[in-house]
Amino acid sequence: MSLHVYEGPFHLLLSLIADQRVDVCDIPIARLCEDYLARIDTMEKMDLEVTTEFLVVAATLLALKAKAILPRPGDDEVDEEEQFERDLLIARLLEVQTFRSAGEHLTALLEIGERRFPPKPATDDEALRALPVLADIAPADLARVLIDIVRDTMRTVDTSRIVVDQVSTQEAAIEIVRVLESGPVTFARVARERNLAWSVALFLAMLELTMRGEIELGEGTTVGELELRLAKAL
Amino acid sequence: MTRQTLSEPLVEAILFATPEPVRAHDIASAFGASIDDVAVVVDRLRAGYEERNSGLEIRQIGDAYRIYTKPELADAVGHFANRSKVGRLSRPSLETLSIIAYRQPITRGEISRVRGVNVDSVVQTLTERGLVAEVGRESGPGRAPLFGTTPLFLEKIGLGSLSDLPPLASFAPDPAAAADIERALTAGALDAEEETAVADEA
Repeated sequence: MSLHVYEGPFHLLLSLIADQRVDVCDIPIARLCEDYLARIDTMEKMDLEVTTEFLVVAATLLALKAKAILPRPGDDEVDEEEQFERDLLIARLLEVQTFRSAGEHLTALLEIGERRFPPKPATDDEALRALPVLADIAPADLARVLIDIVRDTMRTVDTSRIVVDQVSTQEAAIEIVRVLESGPVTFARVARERNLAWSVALFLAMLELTMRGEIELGEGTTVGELELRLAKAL
Repeated sequence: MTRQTLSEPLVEAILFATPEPVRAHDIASAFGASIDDVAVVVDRLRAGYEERNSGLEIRQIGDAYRIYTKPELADAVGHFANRSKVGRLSRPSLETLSIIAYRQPITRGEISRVRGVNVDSVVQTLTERGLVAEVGRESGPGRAPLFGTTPLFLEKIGLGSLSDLPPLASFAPDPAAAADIERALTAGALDAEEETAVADEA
């Protein structure tokens, strides 16, 4: 079964060995290379590390294979370097095989783990009901409203002199409630012609009032507008 | 909070009502007890569960405890609890996960040297699943990110700590399989005469 997932030269080597092709002469280096080249073609960028790793493995195999095929002179001596490369390759194959088995063990553990159910967090309607209604206003929408307001007022900020404008959220809250008593109104309207300090205070007061359940937020008639209204008496 | 003394019902209730693992330290400090006291109470609870053949078990995850239904009840319980199944991990993912578990902290480069393939996307999948996370940076040039397993990994595999993993050596190929690999890469192994020659050299 091939899943067309390139799993590297080690994987192919191991599966060939597992298929009882137990002689280096039988290891099709061409196939190893084809497999690899096909993979390279689908790669968006060249991974030098992996590419060179592959070359080392292929070269080692090729050397082993050449040695096996060529007739040897009478007193053949085993090239030390070649021996070293071979041992290294064997060690790496054993290592890959070891981690593969360890992975199978983890699979078994994960499967049992899947069968244990911990307490489920209560998706408890009661808890949800206790929260103030922010209608379907996403935090990003709130942020956008604030940004618009700040940007609008920033344009007109006169930095030649700085007056510390002291507005409390409480004052702003009183103002909002006063305005809303005559009916629902958009936030843009509430904050119209206010300076930066006031706008921010009004925004914070709006959040505060919403959290306390005194007002409700909804989408205005045009998209992106926030509409404020007094909460219905319970 | 009115101070209660540490007891089995208390710990059981805390574990039951908390939708995440509860650190032994948190329980201990809330009730003026030691971590060892908590361990003793948990052990008594476990013994009680065993005695009455309960459908629940308490497991340790790192330095925390969590209560679970027993795995053998999963089919029936899953039907009621309506739990969504998490997708299986692919074999490359599992191999990579085991390399990270045993060799952590480890860089992507080191993992791909073991596996012989690029592991970027596999590591990303494991990270998205919350099983591994970046745990630091290598001190060398490039400061490659180092990866390690997360508490969620321990929870998923149901082990108290990494040291509870079986030793890696226990997964080494058995001698016959190892011999197969060695033989496959030995020039002219099928020729008995040469085989002895190579063995003599070695």
